Amino acid sequence: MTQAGRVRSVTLLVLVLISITGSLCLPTYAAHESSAQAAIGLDVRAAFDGNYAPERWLPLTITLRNPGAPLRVQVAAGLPGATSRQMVVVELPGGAETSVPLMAAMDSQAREVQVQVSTDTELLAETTVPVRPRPDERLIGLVSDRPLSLMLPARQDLQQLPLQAFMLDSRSLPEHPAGLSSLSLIVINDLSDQPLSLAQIDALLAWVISGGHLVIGGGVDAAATLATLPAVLRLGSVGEPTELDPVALSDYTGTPASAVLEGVQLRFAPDVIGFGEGRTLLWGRRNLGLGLVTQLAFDPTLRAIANWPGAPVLWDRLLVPTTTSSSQFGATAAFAVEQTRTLASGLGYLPAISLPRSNLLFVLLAIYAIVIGPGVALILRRFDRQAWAWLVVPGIALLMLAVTSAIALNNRSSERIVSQLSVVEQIDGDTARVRSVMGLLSPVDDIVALSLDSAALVRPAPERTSNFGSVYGIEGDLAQDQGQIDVQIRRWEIGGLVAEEMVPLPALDAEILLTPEAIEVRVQNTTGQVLRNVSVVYAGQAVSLGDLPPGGLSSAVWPPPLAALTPRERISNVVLGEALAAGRDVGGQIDRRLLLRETLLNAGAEPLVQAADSGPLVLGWLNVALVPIDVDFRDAARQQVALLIARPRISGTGEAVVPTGWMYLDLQERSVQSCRANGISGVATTTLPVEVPLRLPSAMATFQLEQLRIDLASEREWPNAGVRLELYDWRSASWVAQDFDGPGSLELAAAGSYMQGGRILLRLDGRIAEAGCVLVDAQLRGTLPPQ
Amino acid sequence: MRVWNWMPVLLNDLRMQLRGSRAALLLTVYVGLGLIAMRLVYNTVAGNLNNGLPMFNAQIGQSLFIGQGLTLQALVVFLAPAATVNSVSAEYERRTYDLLSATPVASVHFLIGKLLAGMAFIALLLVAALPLFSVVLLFGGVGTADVVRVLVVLALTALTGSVLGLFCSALTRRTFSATLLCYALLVAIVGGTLFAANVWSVMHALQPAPPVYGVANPLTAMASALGQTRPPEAAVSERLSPLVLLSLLSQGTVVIQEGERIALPIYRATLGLYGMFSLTAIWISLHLLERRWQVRRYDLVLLLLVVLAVVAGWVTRDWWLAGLSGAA
Repeated sequence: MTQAGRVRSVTLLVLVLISITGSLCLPTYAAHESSAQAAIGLDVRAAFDGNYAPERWLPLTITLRNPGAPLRVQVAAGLPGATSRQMVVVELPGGAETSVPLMAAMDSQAREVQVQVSTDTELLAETTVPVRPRPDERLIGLVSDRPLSLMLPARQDLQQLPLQAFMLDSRSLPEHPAGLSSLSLIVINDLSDQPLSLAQIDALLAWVISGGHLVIGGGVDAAATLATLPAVLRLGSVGEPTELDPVALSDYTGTPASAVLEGVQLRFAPDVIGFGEGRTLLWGRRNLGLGLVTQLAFDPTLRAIANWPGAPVLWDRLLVPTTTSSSQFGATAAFAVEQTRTLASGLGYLPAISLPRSNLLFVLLAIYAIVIGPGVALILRRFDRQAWAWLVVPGIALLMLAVTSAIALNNRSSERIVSQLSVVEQIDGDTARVRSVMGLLSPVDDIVALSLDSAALVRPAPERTSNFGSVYGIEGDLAQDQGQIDVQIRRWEIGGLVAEEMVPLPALDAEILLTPEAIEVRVQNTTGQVLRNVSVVYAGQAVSLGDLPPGGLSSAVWPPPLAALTPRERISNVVLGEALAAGRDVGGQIDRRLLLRETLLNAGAEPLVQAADSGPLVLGWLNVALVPIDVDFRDAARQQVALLIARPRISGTGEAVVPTGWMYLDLQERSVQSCRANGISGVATTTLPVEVPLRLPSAMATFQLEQLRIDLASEREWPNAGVRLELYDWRSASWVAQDFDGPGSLELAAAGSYMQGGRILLRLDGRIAEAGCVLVDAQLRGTLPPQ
Repeated sequence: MRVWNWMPVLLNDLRMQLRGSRAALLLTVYVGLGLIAMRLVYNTVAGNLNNGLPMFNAQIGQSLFIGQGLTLQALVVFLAPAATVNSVSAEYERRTYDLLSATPVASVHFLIGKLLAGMAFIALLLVAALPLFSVVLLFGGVGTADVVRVLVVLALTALTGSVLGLFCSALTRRTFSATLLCYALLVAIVGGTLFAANVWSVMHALQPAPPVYGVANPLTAMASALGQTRPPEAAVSERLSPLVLLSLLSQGTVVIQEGERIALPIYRATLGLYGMFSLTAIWISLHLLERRWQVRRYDLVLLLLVVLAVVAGWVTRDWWLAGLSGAA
């Protein structure tokens, strides 16, 4: 081979090698190019360190880093094995980091949440976040701009309801009450630097009214913290710094407290129950809806508290959830979960289908029935061809069959059904919380487009089975902040979803006016919606005010005529009693629309009535859902029913008579063991003396008592002797024995000293245990001072 | 063409049947009653849409179909014998039978002609009632198999009723006596079997009577055939079974399997029973007509048919015994 030939060969060889290397590298490069866009950074942080209460929402903060070109991605969070996910669409600018909030709908046992980032065609990133259900624990959110740590009792030292606290800075406090739903308590201590936003305050208020317990810290910064909260959450004003009474704290916890306990003077409203003495109250409490607000006079971060050996006992006793009834959802307040489940069971009460127009068909057939007999016979007889009827009659019949079949097929109606039930609860002057469930029924498997308000949070309805049908949770990616959701539904099953939202709604102008002559109930509809069958309910009685158009005003006298003297067990019986009873008679059938209302009352109003300081309620029916969800179902039968719940104010000046039933048993104040007899709450008796605290509604805390009548009854036979009754004299701070051993009524002419802040205390002793459940009621006569 | 010797009888009867106003009135009454029944069922269902269980269009369609099926069956049960109950006796009463005997028309042709003429009128009534089913179409919920099943039961009931009328007519040779006998038998079959089933139920702690009690009853057979009409395959609608509407007539023909009410297909046994009865009754009627009991050629044909029917019954025993064994 010549030199030139060798050079050519080497050159050729080099070229071949380059080609081979290039061809090998090309796919690698191309793959790199295609995956360059996929290199999305994903970090997920679960609120409350991933701890959650079953069936509630868990806020996630998702951070996305996009090093490539701008992208539009879907971020979805779902539980393992779940058929639906919460999803949000995010625009990712190139080379930037984006943080998005997403609420994950939790079940009762999930240990992880799967988060995926994808485009329409490609999965870009995914990760798993560990979470942990806390069904029987007190989850506490600590909201403070300064470090706040409480010396909580150790888990092993508690018999039940261990405490778990999580620090939340005020910026990350959720703006939707659902985001707080896992918490049973929130302690706010110092928000002087970063006030809460209006949305956060609304969420906090809705959370309290739904059963949360808010604890507001005291101390020198308390005034600034209080200033950020709405008036309804403030129990009073903060005065000068002062030395608090350590003895009361020692007595409360059983551990000697520090001799020096700095705090502030608290000046509470009359309806607040204070703890402590005089000007050195340690804290005060007031019920709000289903929840509770506690305001402390001291800073929980005080060294005297933080390092005090009695602190675990203090926090264990002070940080109590409002509801401690145990259920599968945990021992903490489960109002929202129970309400959702009750509402979902109401989806079985489907509306009647849209009947097709059938009258034309029946008229045509009636004419046909005449024509086919005498009509045909007369015509054929005219031509003396009666035998032709063997051909004419089938001919006309078949022609008629074709015509009527065409009409029938053309007029067939849809089998699709949409049912939406909502509970609308007024939160404050211009906001209402709406919890709405929707059921979709279709004769075919379908994907349905739902349009709804982008602020609504949507999750699948809990599975329910009733006599009227089974409800299952809808499937699909449930977009948040999008307003458009595509869900899959199975044929002939009721697919259910739950939507929650805070909506603007002007408050009802409702008032109960106490005058010397009578008690008047007055409601003006300021909501802008037609309200049907408005009623005011309190103490097992209901006054009906009829329908109220927007702006309409109606009034009535309390108590309602022919009202039952014994409070019935459920509010649905009070409001719908006669209609329900008629339907439940032998051979009767209850209209499903009535059953629907019963369900809504049980879901929305019943828990409020059973709450400690429920006060009177205004109930009205709306024919619109305030969380509008448009369903792309042509010709579907639709049903929308919403129960509006509002609280009337109680007002009046001068002499007034407070009727029986208005004073309620304050079960929280003295750890009274409650019981029920004949559907009425009573006090369970033991061989020990039983204290019975009775309270007027908060708005009547200033009532000045003059004459008192106490009614005593019992579940079992009242002992014929040996029962001692004492009343607490607030002026002399002593128990005063009464010359009355029950049962029946005790009337006292000058009873002013037995009431303070709307409270009366009774003590029953002796053989009272033989009476079993004791029912106590009172009627008062006195004066309401000017407001 | 001795095979077609029944044609003159048939044609003559067809001509005669539609003379006068009786047939026209019967058509209007038959269609009108069916329409009224359908409207009543519709009103009842529509009036209770908001009460009790949710109801869907398909279920309303099924309810209407059931109501219509039962009404037509009840009318057929009582009209079919009426169409033939005077067919033989009238010839005797008019003294025309002897004249007919002198023609080439044999008794078997005479009988077949009379039977077909009677059945043709019932078929005319059924065809005239067909447009009523368009109301069912308005709501849906009924399949082709449901319609075929009901039509088969209706047709065989019409055949059996016509044969029964013919048999009574041939037996008594007097229209009045034949009518009395025929309707006494019908009342015994329709009412008696239901009564017996209820008595059995009362004597056995209100348990449903065995299905065999309902086999001979044409209304129970129709109820059983209608009971096969299933609601949509839904947890919701499954709870509202059309069987509720048939509770009285479906005594003993409904079993509960895995929590679900299932109608036993006893109409299959009824079809077999009616088929055998019709064959036998025609055979006996032929001899009653001739008043001679020696073996004729048609006896061999009919014997062959009976044997074939028995063999067919044996081969298909699993199918028609399903209703009687209590296993759906």
